[in-house]
Amino acid sequence: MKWETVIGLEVHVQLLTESKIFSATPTRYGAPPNTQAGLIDLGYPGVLPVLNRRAVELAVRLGLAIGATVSRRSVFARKNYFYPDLPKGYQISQYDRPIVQGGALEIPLPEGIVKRIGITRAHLEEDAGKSVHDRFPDATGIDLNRAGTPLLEIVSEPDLRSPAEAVAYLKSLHTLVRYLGISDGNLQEGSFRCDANLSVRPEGETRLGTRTEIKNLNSFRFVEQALRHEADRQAGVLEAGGLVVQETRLYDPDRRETRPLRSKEEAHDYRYFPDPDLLPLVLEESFIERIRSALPELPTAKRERFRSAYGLGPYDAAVLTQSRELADYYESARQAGAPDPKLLANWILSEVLAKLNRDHLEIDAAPVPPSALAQLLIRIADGTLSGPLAKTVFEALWAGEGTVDAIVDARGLRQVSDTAALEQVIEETIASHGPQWREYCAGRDKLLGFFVGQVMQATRGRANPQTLNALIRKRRDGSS
Amino acid sequence: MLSAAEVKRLSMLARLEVRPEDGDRLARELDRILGFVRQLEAAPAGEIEPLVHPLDLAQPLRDDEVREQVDCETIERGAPDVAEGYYRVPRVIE
Amino acid sequence: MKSRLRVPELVAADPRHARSAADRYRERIRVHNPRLNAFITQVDPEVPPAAGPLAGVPIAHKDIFVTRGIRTTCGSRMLADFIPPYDATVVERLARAGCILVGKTNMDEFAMGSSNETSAFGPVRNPWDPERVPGGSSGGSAAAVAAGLVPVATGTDTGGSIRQPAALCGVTGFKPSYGRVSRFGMIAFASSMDQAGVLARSAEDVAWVLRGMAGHDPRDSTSVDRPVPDYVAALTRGIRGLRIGIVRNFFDDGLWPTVADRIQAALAVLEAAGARLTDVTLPNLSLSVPVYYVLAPAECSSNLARYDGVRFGHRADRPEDLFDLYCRSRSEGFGEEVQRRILIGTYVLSHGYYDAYYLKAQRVRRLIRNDFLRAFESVDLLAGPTTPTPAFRLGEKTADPLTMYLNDIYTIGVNLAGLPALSVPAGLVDGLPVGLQLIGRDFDEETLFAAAADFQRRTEWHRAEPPGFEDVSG
Repeated sequence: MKWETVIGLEVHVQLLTESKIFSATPTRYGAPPNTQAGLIDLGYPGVLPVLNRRAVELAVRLGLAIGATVSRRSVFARKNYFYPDLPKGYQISQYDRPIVQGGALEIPLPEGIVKRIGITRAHLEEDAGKSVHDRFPDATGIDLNRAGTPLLEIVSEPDLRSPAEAVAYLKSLHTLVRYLGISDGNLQEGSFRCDANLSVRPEGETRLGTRTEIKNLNSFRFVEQALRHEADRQAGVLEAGGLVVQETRLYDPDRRETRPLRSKEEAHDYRYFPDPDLLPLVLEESFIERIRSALPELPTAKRERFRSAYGLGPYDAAVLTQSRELADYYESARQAGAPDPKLLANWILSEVLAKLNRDHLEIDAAPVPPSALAQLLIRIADGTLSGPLAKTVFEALWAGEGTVDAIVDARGLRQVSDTAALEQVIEETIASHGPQWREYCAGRDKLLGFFVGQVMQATRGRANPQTLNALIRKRRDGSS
Repeated sequence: MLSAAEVKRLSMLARLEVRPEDGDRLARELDRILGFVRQLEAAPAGEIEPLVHPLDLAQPLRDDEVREQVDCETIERGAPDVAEGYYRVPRVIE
Repeated sequence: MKSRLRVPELVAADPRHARSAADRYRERIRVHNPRLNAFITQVDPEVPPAAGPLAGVPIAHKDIFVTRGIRTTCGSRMLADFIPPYDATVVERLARAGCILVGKTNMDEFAMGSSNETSAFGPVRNPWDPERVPGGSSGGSAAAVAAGLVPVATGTDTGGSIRQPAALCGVTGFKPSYGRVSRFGMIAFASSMDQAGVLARSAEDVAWVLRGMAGHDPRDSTSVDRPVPDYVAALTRGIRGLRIGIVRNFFDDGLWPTVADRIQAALAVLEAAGARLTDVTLPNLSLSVPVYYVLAPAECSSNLARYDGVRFGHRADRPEDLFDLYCRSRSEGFGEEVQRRILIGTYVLSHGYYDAYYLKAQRVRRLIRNDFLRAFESVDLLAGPTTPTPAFRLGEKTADPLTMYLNDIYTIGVNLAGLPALSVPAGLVDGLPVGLQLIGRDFDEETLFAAAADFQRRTEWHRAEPPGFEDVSG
């Protein structure tokens, strides 16, 4: 039987604020345990929460970016359960009245197809602390530094039909939240965390099958692996005549399988109710409009503009707009005079990205600024540098050897396009390779490359290849 | 009458230990209170908007600034079991 | 023998003077507290500040307000050794105004009770009859003020916890509008109803102290950002011309006829002072007790989840596992009434019961508030008894929680609606005090002060002193 996989994703995005969502302690990552857990974060007797304006603004930003309804009135609720990393015994979250409702995210699929994935809702909540299991022999250690960090939980519709689509969705969302500046999206530090709901059904079936929830999907690679394994597992269960049990499963990347979370002592009953310590969050039209007017250009719009304004192909446009910083790099180079938009794209996608990758650098830290790359491309266009020479100059630029022109002069890399000079070298080459020249003239066209190579060697690569080719052909045609 | 299983479910949710010898008495007491509040069923409230806060006001917002200094030493002194900066609880298996 | 000093008389220009006033009260606490158990912790006053509108006024805080470096128990074994690292806003403001803290008063555990018998530190005794309860949950504060151990004390009122003990101990107790006084640092019982207030001899003394603690606090989202009127100035406005609605529901069965007589007499005083009395009925008021016993337990079940033996408070010895740590820490730390309410609250919020209990109660809560708002279209204040009976005997109502709950039948509606209200002494029944309750409009504390001060200019009940506690401090 052919099975169709149905996936919905819940993504927890840590919002980029200085202080916590309900308290004035720092959100910085990596501090010694419990040094950033203040009295409110610890749920001390008598303390009360006060909402961080910035967290609200960032949530609204996302809502506007995905074309959602930003609730004029939303409500904070308490989700009650006991766990040592949850200091108050409840998590402040939003339940039946979230700040963002509806909306959609467009995700690029292979062959230029774009799919619209519905967003059910996004709501504000506080993060929990961390349990540390490997620190003490018979105890679990609790670090509450993360408790109270603002989270935006973004819940998709079950619109995804394969693990690959799920990954494409996550990548688009990841790009979006970083574009919007609402999160650093750091996966290693847990700023962007994903849980998945997955079910399978026979192809053609319209009803949803029983789903499981898969947790601990902490990299894009794991997401795809874990979902593929879980889909196979469910299909296997159903094919064997069994039933899928609705449960929460954990992905174990070492064993490459999902397994059920150890069953708790009881079924959960979160007893949500409106938090009486917080009043309804009411957003004025002017508040929302102020955020709307400050929204940056979004990835989809930027991608389209890169295609139409610069004549780039869909792939180039998609990669260049993957992050705001990379797109900015491209456009800065354009502004600095890089003449050929497609050539510029090629240079960034091949040379720049390869070097960044090799040196583990972000685009912001690239040693070749956009203006230098532009200068390099100008020198290609004006014939000073050939492609191969330009690559040599680029290496030198990356190594910090100075400006383009300084490197060209210092290394004597200026391209030789002077016809007379080249003709002389060609004559010398013919003189020392008489037999090959005769063969070439007799019709062995392949020997053109040989002569080009010889001349290049003699000029240390500086000969203008186009000119050189033309001159050698002209010499042959003249001599026959 | 609230069943023993129901009392057990509630006490587990609330993380309270109910000694077996107290179960019946507790069930009776809870039942009497719940029976009393059940008179609300007949109240003619219809679909009237629930009142969560006495005052119809909006949530104030705070500037995103770090203002609280964490006094780890004092906090640790008040905690029952702290080691290496961590609060300790019996081992949790996930 | 000199009559007790009023707060304005206590406000000392000279710090040496203040010190001696505080010392006098400390001495009275030392002598009389063993009979009353009104204090959980006695505090040696520091050298008082010379300045501030309440400079040198000795004060006791209900042990629900956290005090930096001073044990704060909330009447519970759970917090028997809890030393807070910060001050409640109320504590901070009154200290800044010049008040001198002399002690933390006993209370029902986590403010859950109407007789002070749920305290883990033993019951408080009523100065008028040590065999009787002082009321609760602010019973320690009420008894301390009644016995002259302190001129003023703070309290909190979630369902009557200031007004009811004030009535039973013969003092003036004032619960401001919800949102008027910051809840920051006030250990939560039911957040949407908890409100801090003052217990003192007279409306005048209350006004002086409330003026020092009221006002917006950015650390409490539910505290209201509006100016605090001068309550002391309101004291002289008088009753004349005020329309006062007598809440007929309060005079139904359950109210002792002897208590009803005292209230009628008090109403006659108001009328003689120029108030226009009319009858008012609040149709849904009878539902306030059941609404309260859904909502308060619901909120408390969640508010008290933080006491888990991990970060502060009581922790069970040698827990077997996490679940055992939680269950034993909580069951050892909390008393019976608190556990009962947590279980009720857990029930009404749980899956399948939420709509029928919690949601329904919130709807009826609006009906009750609407009843009050409608009444205030035609009157300026509402009046009635504070409690159906005078103080009952210790142990008389502990066997049946429900009987105890019904003791708050006249006070609870006010908390559900968030209104300001007070209780003033209105006479004695069989040697025990009885309270007249006045209820005001949202944030109209001034009219309450005006009426209560005028009433107290025409009556002597608030000056009555329980036998054996007459003031000898001169």
